[in-house]
Amino acid sequence: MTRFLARRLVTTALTLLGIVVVVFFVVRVLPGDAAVLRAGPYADAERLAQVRADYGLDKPLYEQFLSYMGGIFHGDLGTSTVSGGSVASELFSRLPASLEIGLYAVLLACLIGIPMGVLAAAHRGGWLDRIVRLGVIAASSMAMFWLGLLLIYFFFYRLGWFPAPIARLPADVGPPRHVTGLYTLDALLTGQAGLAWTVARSLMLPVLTLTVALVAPVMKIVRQSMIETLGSDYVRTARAMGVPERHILMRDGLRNALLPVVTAIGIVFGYMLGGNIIVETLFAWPGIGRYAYQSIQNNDLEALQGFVILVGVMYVLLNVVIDICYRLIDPRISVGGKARS
Amino acid sequence: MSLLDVRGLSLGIAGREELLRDVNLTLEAGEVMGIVGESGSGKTMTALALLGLLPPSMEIRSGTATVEGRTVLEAGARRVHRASGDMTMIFQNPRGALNPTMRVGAQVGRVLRVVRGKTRAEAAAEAVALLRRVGISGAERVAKAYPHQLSGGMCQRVVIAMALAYRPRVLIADEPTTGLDVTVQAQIFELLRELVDETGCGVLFITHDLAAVADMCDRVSVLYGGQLMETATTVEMFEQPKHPYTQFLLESLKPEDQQGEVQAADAGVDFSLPGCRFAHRCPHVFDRCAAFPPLVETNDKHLYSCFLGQEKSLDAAQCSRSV
Repeated sequence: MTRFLARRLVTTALTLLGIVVVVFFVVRVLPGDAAVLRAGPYADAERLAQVRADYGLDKPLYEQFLSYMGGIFHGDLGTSTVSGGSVASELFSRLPASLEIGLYAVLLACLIGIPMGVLAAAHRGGWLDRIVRLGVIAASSMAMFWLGLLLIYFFFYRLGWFPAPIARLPADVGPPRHVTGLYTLDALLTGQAGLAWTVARSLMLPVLTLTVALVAPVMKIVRQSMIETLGSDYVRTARAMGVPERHILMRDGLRNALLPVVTAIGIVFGYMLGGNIIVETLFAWPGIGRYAYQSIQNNDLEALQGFVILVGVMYVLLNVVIDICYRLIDPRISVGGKARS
Repeated sequence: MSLLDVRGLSLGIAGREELLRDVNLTLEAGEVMGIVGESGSGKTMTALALLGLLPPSMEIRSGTATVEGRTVLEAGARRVHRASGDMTMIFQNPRGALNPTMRVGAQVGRVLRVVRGKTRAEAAAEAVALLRRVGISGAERVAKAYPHQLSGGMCQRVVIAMALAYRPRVLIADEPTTGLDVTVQAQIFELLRELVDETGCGVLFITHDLAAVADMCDRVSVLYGGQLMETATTVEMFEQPKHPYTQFLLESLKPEDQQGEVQAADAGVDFSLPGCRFAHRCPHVFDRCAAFPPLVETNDKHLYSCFLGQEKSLDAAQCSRSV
């Protein structure tokens, strides 16, 4: 395991370097000029040159790149041309808001998707299976922004069950004391159950929107891989040896279906990292997705760059975690990294 | 009373023609009965039906089966509740028959726990003893291994240990040595034979290997196209086959130039026809073969399903099933 981790660390570092290089240069070829936007429409040539010099935009590209790389090693992702603040600290102050939606959505998608997929496979062709399959098709063909708008229209505008989609909290409520940055958790940790409920109510619609998008792939893959394992020879043997069906479902079925399911959850996390841009914009949620959206609109290169790198890093780390999970789940994947037949 | 008694078993895909028609089998305690036939002759389907493991598309049209008088199969029922310990089955592809994410000792122990009601600790200890019993050396170490770390022959021994844990009255062995080395094959046969002598259970030994039949079996039943062609002691089957299909099967063991006139190319059985399933390939086919031939007994326990040589003895009562 140590050797595997050491090797994985090296490849991870190389992947991250690749991400930084690609992101840096892709962002540079986007149309628009950050300095023009920053300086404002009435700036003269001198003021523009001043802005360029301030943000290092007048230097050659390779020099910009090298100083950017140097900054990254010190945790510096550059400076926002819009706010003038540090991109890294702006991103990290917004990250908890994004994670709060994302983690709940992924958790909810697993809590709904895994049991439903298992039951659909166990009663293949039955009414539950039909509902699940219909649900998968409906959920995966639903556009997230459309669903979000529908939810806002009915549950906020028409029924008034949930607060306005304007932020993490209603305007007249202050956030809980900062512990983890996840408001629900912080409110509970500081013993403010009422506040936790207020926070949860604001969370519900965006979480629901993201959950619908995430639950479809989880349900589909759980069902598929369960059908495969339940049709396998070892399940037939277990049945012939009198092992009860309930035990077979978990120990032979789900246990062996876990590998593709973990992969699916990884993919779903990826969706979540990208999907939060739409949801956060829709619900005016002050997370990193909305930050990225605004930075594109404002041509704020370093902010956008910081967002893409942060998502890239999270994605790569997620894959490392999944790889480790594989080794814990399947004894056939040996520590050396090769599967023995 | 026979240990296992299968009467008039007919199976089919729901809403379509009958695949298995009127199969009758008996098995005595301590006996190994071979079930021989080509692929698609219904050998495995018969076994799966007995265990209640038929695929959902298949239905039991008629027939009954009993183990020591207890009903284990009924027409219409998907799965009759079995007294645990009546019947179990070992399969071909032993590696695939074991759960890849479970240590093999735990798989044997699980049978002990769910069937014999042992505690976890008892089951773990007894599993090692069973692994030793089926000839695995270093049983403690092997019990902690995963199936992919063992050879195919070892895996089959583990599956046999699971079957032993189940303590069946009837063990069905479906081509248990397919894909194993010849020497390993011989060891597995020997092990099965020992277990029969030791536990007194009966074995239905499904195979298409006539040499294995000669080695292993006391009696043989021949299936073709879902029809039971002939049942006899192994010696009689090899020396005095009555049914044209059995004769053809044994001819195929001879060198090619001495073989008879049966068409080797199988056009496929037409399951929708009411008559003898072998009629389209039979060199002796005549008008009566359009009806389904009942089983006739020539001498003690030699049964076959053919109109040939029984014109005089056939009466209307025996014919009733065929129309």
